[in-house]
Amino acid sequence: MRDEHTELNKKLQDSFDTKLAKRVGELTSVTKALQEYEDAIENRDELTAMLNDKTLDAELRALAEEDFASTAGTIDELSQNIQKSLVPVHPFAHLPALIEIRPGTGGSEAQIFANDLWKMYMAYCNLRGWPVSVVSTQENEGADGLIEGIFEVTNDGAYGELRLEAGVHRVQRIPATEKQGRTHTSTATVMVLPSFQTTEVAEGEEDPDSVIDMKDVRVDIMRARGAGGQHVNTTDSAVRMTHIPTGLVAAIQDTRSQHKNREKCLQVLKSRIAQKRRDEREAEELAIRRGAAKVGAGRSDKMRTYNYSQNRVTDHRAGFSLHDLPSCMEGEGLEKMIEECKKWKMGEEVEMLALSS
Amino acid sequence: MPRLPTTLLRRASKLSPHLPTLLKVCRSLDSAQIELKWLKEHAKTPEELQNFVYRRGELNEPLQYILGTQPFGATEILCERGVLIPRAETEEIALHLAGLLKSGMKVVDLCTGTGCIPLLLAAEKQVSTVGVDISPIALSLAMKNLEHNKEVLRGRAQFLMGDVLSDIEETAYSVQACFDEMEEGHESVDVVVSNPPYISADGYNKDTARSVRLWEPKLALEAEHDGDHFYPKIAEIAEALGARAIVAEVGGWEQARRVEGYWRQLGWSGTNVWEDFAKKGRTVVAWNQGGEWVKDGPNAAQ
Repeated sequence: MRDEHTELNKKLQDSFDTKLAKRVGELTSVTKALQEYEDAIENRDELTAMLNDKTLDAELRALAEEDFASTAGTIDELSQNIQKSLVPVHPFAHLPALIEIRPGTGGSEAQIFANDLWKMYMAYCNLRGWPVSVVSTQENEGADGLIEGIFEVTNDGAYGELRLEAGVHRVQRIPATEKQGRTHTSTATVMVLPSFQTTEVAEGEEDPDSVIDMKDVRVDIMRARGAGGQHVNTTDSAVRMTHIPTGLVAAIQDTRSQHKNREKCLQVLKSRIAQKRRDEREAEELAIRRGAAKVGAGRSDKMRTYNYSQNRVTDHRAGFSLHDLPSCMEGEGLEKMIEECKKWKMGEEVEMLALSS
Repeated sequence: MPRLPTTLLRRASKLSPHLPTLLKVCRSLDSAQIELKWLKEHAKTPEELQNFVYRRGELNEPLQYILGTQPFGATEILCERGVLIPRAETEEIALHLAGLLKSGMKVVDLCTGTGCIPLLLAAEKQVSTVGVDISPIALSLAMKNLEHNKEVLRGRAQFLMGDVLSDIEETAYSVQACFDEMEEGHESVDVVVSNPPYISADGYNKDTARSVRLWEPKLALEAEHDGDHFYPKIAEIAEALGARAIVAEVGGWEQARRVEGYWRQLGWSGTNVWEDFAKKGRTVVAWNQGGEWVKDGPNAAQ
């Protein structure tokens, strides 16, 4: 692996190539971890030799013993680092993210909660300085909740940062509409998809998962009744696209421009198709892993609970609780939460790696 | 027009007091809600919103005149009373034509109105365009649109006054002069495109929407001879300009077949009809040798 790294680095100096550069980037962390580990081992061997030397004076010996103890600790840590660096980077981690929020069970309270989550992610992205672009929103009838909200976090790598947010978010609180002071439990679903921009094709970077043949896509535009053309001046700009082989559908009517709705629609459709293909592959992988050992169940339901009366947010996967709910909703606490989730995921993947090797 | 069901009106008024008014013109809750959203985004005060809703719902004023714009491909076209609002069908045609054009091509748009077609083409491709219209109101709006969209233009656009019906030689001469100014060694135009008035007198009374009849200029909609008046003239001008292809919007399959007939009679070697997104015969194209690239439309069977 290290040989490959030096080889590639040499090639990269001769001619720059994005694919090559990506591979080098992946290898760099492994090579670095390996180098540090080997340095530490060498250090330890030297110290052992010193300690075995009977002529060593007492003062030096004490120092060497101290060093030896700390080096042993470092070696443990470094060997873990190697494991971590060996965990393959998610193939879409470098992409922007498309986030879809929908209410689950709980009626209008679920819609209000979906809106709360929307605001939470907006605040979080704002805090991190990530650019956000709203793809479409559909408010509920009372205009205090969401029926559906889709937005894109457009910076590269957003998918890698946010993908663990996908799942069922549960809320336990006394809704504003509740007159008898009873605590309700409702849910909202967050989907996080890697976002494949339509312009990506030109750069030779497009992921095979989002490639679709436009011949397989049926485009429906709201049909003008009657003669159409100069006879009417309709404002319908809604576009619906169906990917015939998978049956997946995307519909956008947010802007007055049919042209823009079309672009957005295709983007959403491509992301959904890629996600489906990836899910299928993951399911396959999961089946293989399950056959090997009882590790890593799929996405569990209710991955996170927001408990208002206890001022607590708990991530059930990471087994982590944050006892400051407002800070989470304002984005600051969410950062900590996401960090914990990443740690959990890393641990799980290392375990997986250990099992498969 | 059928009456709106009371249940629908009641549901609408629960959501917003503006919706029942908008329903009168939008006819479905979905489209009333989305129009209300756009009007809200545009209105600065609740009073202004009230005024917009009244104009739209009670007076049938087109949304595009109230908001002042219509998105058209990558351009944003300013809309004013007295000039026809760009249609979705025309947008589809122009976007498809833009895909067929090659850099450096020269395009003439007859009856250009807002100037939406040449501006969209020049936004998509590095082409030179000249738009012609008889109406001074349309021309001054086309000029404003040129200025309004200059950031997105890759090609060039000019507009000039001309009469397609009576002064064929004069119009062709002014167009040629315009291209002469734009580039040295100009010889001939590549394609003539047009969305002329194409509705018959009968069709104007029977088939047009109320909002169209009340608010949009008849000059841009109705034509003599069953709506066919402009098509032979367009072909004559195309010939005078040395164009090898014509692209013109029409009002449906019947008219499309008639226009194909006129153009074949005038000696054009090939003709075809492009279908629109609603499966209507929407565009007639004709070509002479070297203009065959114009044959297939946006929804042609693969």
